Amino acid sequence: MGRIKLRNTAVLLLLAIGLTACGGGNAGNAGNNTQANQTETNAPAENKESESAEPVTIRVSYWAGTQLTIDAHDNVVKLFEQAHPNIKVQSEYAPGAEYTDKILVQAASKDLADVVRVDYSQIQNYVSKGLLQPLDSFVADKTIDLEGINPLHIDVGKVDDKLYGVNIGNNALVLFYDPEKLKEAGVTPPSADGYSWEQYEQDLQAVKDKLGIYGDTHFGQSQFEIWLRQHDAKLYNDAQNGLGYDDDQLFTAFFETQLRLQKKGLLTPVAVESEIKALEDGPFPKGNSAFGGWGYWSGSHSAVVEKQLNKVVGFSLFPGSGKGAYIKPSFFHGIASNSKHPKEAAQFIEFYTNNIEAAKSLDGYFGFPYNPKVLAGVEAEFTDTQKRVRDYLELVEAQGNPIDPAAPSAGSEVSTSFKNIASEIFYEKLTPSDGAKRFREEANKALNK
Amino acid sequence: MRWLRNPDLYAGYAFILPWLIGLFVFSLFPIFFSLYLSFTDYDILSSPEWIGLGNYKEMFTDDPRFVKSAKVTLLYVFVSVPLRLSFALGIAVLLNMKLKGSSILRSFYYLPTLMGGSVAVIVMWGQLFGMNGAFNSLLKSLFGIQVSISWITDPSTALGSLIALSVWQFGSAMLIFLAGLKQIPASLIEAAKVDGAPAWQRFIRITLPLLSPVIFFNLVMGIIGGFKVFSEGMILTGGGPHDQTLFYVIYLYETSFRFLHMGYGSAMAWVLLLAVCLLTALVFRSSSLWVHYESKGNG
Repeated sequence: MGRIKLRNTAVLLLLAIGLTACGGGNAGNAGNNTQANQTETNAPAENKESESAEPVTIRVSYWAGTQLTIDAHDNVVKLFEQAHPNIKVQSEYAPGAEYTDKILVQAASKDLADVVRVDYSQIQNYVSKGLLQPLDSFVADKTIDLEGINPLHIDVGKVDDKLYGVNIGNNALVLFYDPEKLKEAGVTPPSADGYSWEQYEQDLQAVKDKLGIYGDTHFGQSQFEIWLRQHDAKLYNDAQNGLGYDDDQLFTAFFETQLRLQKKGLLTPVAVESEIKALEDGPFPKGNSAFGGWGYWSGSHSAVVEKQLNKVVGFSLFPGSGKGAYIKPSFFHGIASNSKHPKEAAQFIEFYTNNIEAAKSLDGYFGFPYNPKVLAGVEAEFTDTQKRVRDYLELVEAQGNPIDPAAPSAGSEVSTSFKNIASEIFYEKLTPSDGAKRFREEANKALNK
Repeated sequence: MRWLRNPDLYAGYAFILPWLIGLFVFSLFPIFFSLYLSFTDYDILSSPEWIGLGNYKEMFTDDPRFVKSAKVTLLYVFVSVPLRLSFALGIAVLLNMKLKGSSILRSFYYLPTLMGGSVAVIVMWGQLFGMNGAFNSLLKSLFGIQVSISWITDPSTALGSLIALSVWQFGSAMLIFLAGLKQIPASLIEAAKVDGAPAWQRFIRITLPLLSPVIFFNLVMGIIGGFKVFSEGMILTGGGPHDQTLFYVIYLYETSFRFLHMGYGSAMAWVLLLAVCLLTALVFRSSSLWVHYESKGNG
C-alpha cells in the first residue's frame, strides 16, 4: 500500500510538473492575446486620439550584410522609439539570400514581422501569396504621408493598383572607379556622355600595363541584364514564361567579351572572386583593381566602399549605351497581413520615410530620399558621398529607362543556372555559344513549370 | 482489458510522456507529412496541390542537377568513408601499441571530431585551404611551389578538400576501433607469434577478422553519415563551383527553400531515405561473408 501511494504521489508530481509547464505556456499565450485584444478594443479610441498610451511591441525584419547597415538601422529605431515612447521595436536581420529564406519560413508559419523589408524582385510574389496587406488606407488617412511625391517613386510598390510597399529610397547599379589609380595609369575617367565597351577594354589594359593591377572583376547577371537593356531586350519576356531575348548572340557576345578580358589578365581571377564573402572583401574595396563593376549599388555600397578604401571614388554608368541604366527602389517596407499592430507598423514606415531626423541619420544609406520635403530638409547636410550619389542618380534618370518588371518566382532557379553556366565558361569548360544554348534551355524549363 | 487497470502502465507512460510528445509532434508527424507533400506541388506559401508521382518522375527523367547531386554524393561517400575508416584504423593500431604518451595522443586525435561538426572548424578549414591559406604558404616555404588556387573553390579540387575534411574527422571511428582492438584476446596473438607468424600476417589473419564487427558498425554509420553531408558543403562551397560539390542534401535544401518546390524536396528526401536503407541493407547482407562474430565459435 505504502509503495503504491508513493508511486501515485510520484506520478501526480510528474503530472503536476507537466501541467505547470503547459500552464506556463498558456499563461504566456493568454498574455499575448489580452494584449492583442486590448489594442483591438482600443483601436476605435486610437482613431480619435491618433496615439494611444498602450505599450506595443512591433517587429521589424531587414536585410543586412555588414555592421554599418545594422548601425544605420538601429539609429533610426532609436529615434523612432524616442518619438513614440509607447512603441518598442524588435529588429531582426539576415544577410544575403538567407534573408529571403527567413521570410519564407516565417511566412509559412504565419510569423512574419510586422514591418517586412521586401526586395523589388519579391514583392509581386509575396502579394500574390497574400503575405502583405495593402497600405492604401494608411496613405488615405495620412498615417503614411506620401503627398507631394512624384508618383514615379511610389508606383513601383503597387501591385494591381494597390500599394503594398513603400520605397525606402532610390538606388542604381554603378561602375565605381578609383580616380587616383586611373590618373596614375594615365586614363581619363569614364565620361558621363558615353563610355564605350572598346574604351573600357583599353582602359583596363592601360591599368594593367602601367600599374600591374587588375582592371575589374568579372561581370555577372545584373550586368548582363543591363547589357540586354542596351540592346532593347530583357531577361524575362512579358508573360514571364520564357527568356525575353531571342538572339543567343547577345549572350554569346557578352561572355566572349568577358572571356577575352579574362585571358588578357585584365580581370581578377575567378578563384579570388569566389572567396568574396562580404562587401568589404571585394578586389575593388581592397584596392586591388581600378574599376569596381562587381554589381555595387549607389546606396549603401558607396559608403561602405569609400570607408574601406578611405578615399573618394568615381561613379560611372556601365560601358555601352546609357539606356541600359535604371533606378531601382532599394527596398520596400511592407506590413505583414498577419500583423497585429498594423497601425504602429504604419507609423514606423512613416517615420522611416518622412522624418527629417531619420533621414539625416540614414544619410541616404538605404537608397536616396525622393520626398521633396525630406530632400529640402537634409540637402544642406549631405556628405560629399551623398552629393556624388545624387549626381549619379540624376545621370541615370536622364539617360536610363524604367526598371524591368520584377523577376517571376522561378527567377532564383534562372539565377542559379546563370551562375553555374558563367562559372563553367570562366573556368573554360564551356564555350559561350554552348552556354547560351544551355542557359536558354534551362531557364525556359524553370520558367515554364 | 485488465491491463488498462494496471497502475504501472500509467506510471510508465507518465514517465515517458515528454519523449512520446516529442516523437509524435516533432518526428512522426513531420515524417508522414513530408510523405504526403512528396506527392504534391507545394510552394510553402499556397496550399499543396496533388500531382501523384509527378515529382518522382521528373527527378529520374528530367532533372540533370538531381543526377549530378546523386553522383557527387555517391563519389563523396565511396571515397571518404573507406579513407576515413582506414585512416582511423591505422591510427588506432598505432595507439594500441602502448607507446609512451599514447593516451595524450588519443585525446589529441579525438579533438577535431569533438569540434568537427561546428561551423567554426569548417570556416577554419576554408581559411587553411583558401587562396592565401596556411596550406599554400606551407607549400611555398617548404617546397618553394607558388600555388595560386583556392583548394576550396577550384572546380577540380573542391570535392577533394571536402573529402579531406571528412577524413580529418576520424576521431570517433578511431575510438571505436581502439575499443575493439582492446577486446581482442592477447592469447590469440601470442599463439600466432609462437607459431612464427610475422606482424602483417597476425594483423590480416587475426586482428582484422576479430575486428570485423567493429568495422561493420563503423562502415554502416559512415555510409549513413556520408549521405547526409550538408553543413561542410553549404558553408564552404555552397554546392559550387558550378555544382561540383552539389551534395544531395544541399540540392534538396536549395529546391525546397530557395526555389520553393517543397513537394519536390520532400520527394527527394524520401528517395534519399530509400537509397540509404537499400545500401545499408546491402551492407548487412554482405556482412555474413566478411564479418566474424567470436561468440559463434564458442556457441
